[in-house]
Amino acid sequence: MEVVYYFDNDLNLCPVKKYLELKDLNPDRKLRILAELDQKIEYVRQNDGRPMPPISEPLHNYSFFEIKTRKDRNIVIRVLYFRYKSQIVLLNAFEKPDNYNTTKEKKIIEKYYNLTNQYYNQFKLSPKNYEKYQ
Amino acid sequence: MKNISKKKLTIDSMAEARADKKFLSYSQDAATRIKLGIEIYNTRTSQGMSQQKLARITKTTQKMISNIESGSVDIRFNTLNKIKVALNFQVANWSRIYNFAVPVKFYWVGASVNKKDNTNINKKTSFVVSTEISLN
Repeated sequence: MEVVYYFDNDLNLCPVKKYLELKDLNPDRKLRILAELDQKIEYVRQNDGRPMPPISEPLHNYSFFEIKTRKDRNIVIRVLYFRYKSQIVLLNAFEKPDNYNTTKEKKIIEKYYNLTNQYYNQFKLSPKNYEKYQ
Repeated sequence: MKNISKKKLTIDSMAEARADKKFLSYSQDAATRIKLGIEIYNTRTSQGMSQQKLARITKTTQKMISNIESGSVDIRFNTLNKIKVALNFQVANWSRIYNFAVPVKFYWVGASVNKKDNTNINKKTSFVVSTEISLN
């Protein structure tokens, strides 16, 4: 299977590619995170994009799956993807704290999932909107 | 694809990272951690054990077990040893993590098979049984 980044027409960029710039991290930590994430994506690719716990998991109420990678002690990076024909489409990525209790924090997380759902629907309408994952 | 020339310039961090000398080494480390995590997860769930229970047995936290299973932490030897004992890891488990063939022990069990019925069977292999070696 081929791995691709979803390209968003309105934003004029690939959300996952943009996120992976990880500008707030030092170069070595960034390299380690990217190496780990790359291996997880490769594992998902070898399994035809099927959600394979503990590396990738399905999400309740959504048609896409998530790959988790720890960013630091309290934050986990979530990369959301789905399978489309022979492609694994990386839709969106965001950070989720281990502990979030306030309504505000919950709403922010929910917003990311809903936004990803929009990307998902958008890609299905325009399946040529992608860039290759290299 | 949409008109590429109009796209915002986004750095391809993954492609850049691949060009770094350390990337291969970090990838290999990550691959081993991921395989270890998957093996622990599969063995634990096949035994119907929760992360909380494994954490209790190994005197660590559920969060740490979750991190180990997702391949996100460099596990300490002592913790790994406790997990190995708690889950009764066998050579087959390690072989899946480190990609080696499972060694087998051969026993000579004597000429107990009726030779008349097994004339075409190779003598060297027809009278042996094998078992997996346990390192525990």
